[in-house]
Amino acid sequence: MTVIANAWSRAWHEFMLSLRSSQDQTFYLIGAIVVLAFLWFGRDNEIDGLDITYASAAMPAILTMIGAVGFTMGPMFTIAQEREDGTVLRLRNAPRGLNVYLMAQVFFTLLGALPMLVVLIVPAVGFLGAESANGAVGWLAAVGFLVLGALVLLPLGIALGCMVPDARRAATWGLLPVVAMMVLSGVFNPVQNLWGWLQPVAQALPMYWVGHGLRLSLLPDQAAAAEVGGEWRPLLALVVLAAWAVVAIIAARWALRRVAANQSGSAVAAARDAAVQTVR
Amino acid sequence: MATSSTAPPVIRASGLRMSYGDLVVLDGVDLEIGRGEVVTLLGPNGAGKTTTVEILEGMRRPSSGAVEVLGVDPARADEAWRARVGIVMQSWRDHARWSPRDLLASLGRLYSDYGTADHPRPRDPEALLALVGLTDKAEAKIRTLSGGQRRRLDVAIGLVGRPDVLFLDEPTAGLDPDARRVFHELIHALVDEEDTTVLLTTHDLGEAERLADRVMILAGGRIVADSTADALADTLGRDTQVRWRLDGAVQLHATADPNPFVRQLLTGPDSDRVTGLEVRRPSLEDSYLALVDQHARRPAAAPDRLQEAS
Repeated sequence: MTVIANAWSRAWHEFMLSLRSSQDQTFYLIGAIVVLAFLWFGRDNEIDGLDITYASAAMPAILTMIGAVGFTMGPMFTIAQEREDGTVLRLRNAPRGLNVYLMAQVFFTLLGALPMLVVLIVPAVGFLGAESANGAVGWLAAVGFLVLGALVLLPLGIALGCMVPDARRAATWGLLPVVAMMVLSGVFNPVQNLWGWLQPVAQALPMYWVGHGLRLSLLPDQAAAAEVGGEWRPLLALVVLAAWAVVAIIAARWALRRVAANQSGSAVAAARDAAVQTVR
Repeated sequence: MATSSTAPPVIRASGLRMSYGDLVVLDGVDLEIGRGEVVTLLGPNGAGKTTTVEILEGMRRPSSGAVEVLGVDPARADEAWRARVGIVMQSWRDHARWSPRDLLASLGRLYSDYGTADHPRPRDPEALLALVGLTDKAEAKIRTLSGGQRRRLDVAIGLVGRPDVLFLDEPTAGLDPDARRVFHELIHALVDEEDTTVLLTTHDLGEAERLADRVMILAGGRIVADSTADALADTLGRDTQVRWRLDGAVQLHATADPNPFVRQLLTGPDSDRVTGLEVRRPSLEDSYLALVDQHARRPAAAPDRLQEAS
């Protein structure tokens, strides 16, 4: 219990610092402006055969994006950075510090998604006519799929953050699997448009099922016609995501243990010197 | 405080070897440190000071050899062991947005399960801030602290769990002389109050002399000297230098025992003409440089280890 309480207090403190940081405020603001502008310019688009607004149709994709950016890329960059600046090592030196660090990372990521959701969803619903075709139940189901998605995407982000060689390379090859997964996920482009052999691959990825779950929560029943097989598959979505959650959590634990074993003061100093040299 | 012969040592290492490929960093390090001792590990750059400390901290596994800290192999130590060990490392840039007060409180809480009635954990963050002289910076963002202030915060963090053993890797690097003195007083107070065992590495011979009960010199992958600073200065059997002026002309005499010589000089027939008498014992620096010179250049050919009882 103390581990959870300490992790929560650490995450809350980080969250408060983040809310007060102009850098983070800018990030939320720019993200919101880009997405809202996209919805605004597309507001007159007709959705084939469905009587819903453009914003409503785009909402599942937007929420999946927030999941990918917030839950996977966020922890990946944070951990890559904090391995390098000594934060991970500092916590490792304290009793149960690594567990506290990991759990605080989870809490902080979930907390950090809230401002993004607020700055996006409030205007999208208030001014752009985004709504759930299934009412409040639809929104609740969407939250459920987002949380389940977080259980997969967050440990994946942690594992990636542990595996990238350094913070600079998190932006290059660390980002690749995330972007690839998003492109393949059917969030922006139906999976059926991919080459035939890629379709089953895409459907094995967790991001596809997060998107599918959000679509079935928020879109009207007729929209199922656009899905693979022409129907919603809620049960399969739950099973695949649950299985992925197990795999991702095991991967994250393994990766973090490996990082902890390889960390030492001189290793951190060497990484810092390498970083300084590249900047110069 | 000398090592008690009955109590088991707090830190014990024997036959530590560490090599990276062909590069041998440690070549058979043996050391024992008792409860409440302050020991300084001196040595030239690359001698393996940091490697040795990191092995004792459990961050590295030696290529071979046995290590015990608080009766446990650090590489296999559990969380309760970690609560008893304080670590101050070189170079941190973490928690830049936090304030010293918040960081000390947050890290301190991790230790609260490991305290006992007569050994409460953690230390009070406010008292710690006062101890290291950071009370007026308690609310500042850590990234705005000067190098010396960061260093003192690092020391405070190393102390927050009220450790039984404290490892410090070059704690005074980059401190100005004033901050250095404050730090030395801090370590003295700590050891007097708590019987903490302290192992620190340094380049600074003066620091070793002022701070440590014992000085160990690491050169060529081995501990080549292990004794008090005073005894170490005598280790090499160097002569004391006696220097004086006779009618203004500088005279020099080297002797193992300066007392009879000086007595004779000052009572002899020429005593009226003697001015500017100086008696200079061999310094720690002389011994250090001689030892390093002797061992660092020829690591393999250094079987004659100097062991001096303290």
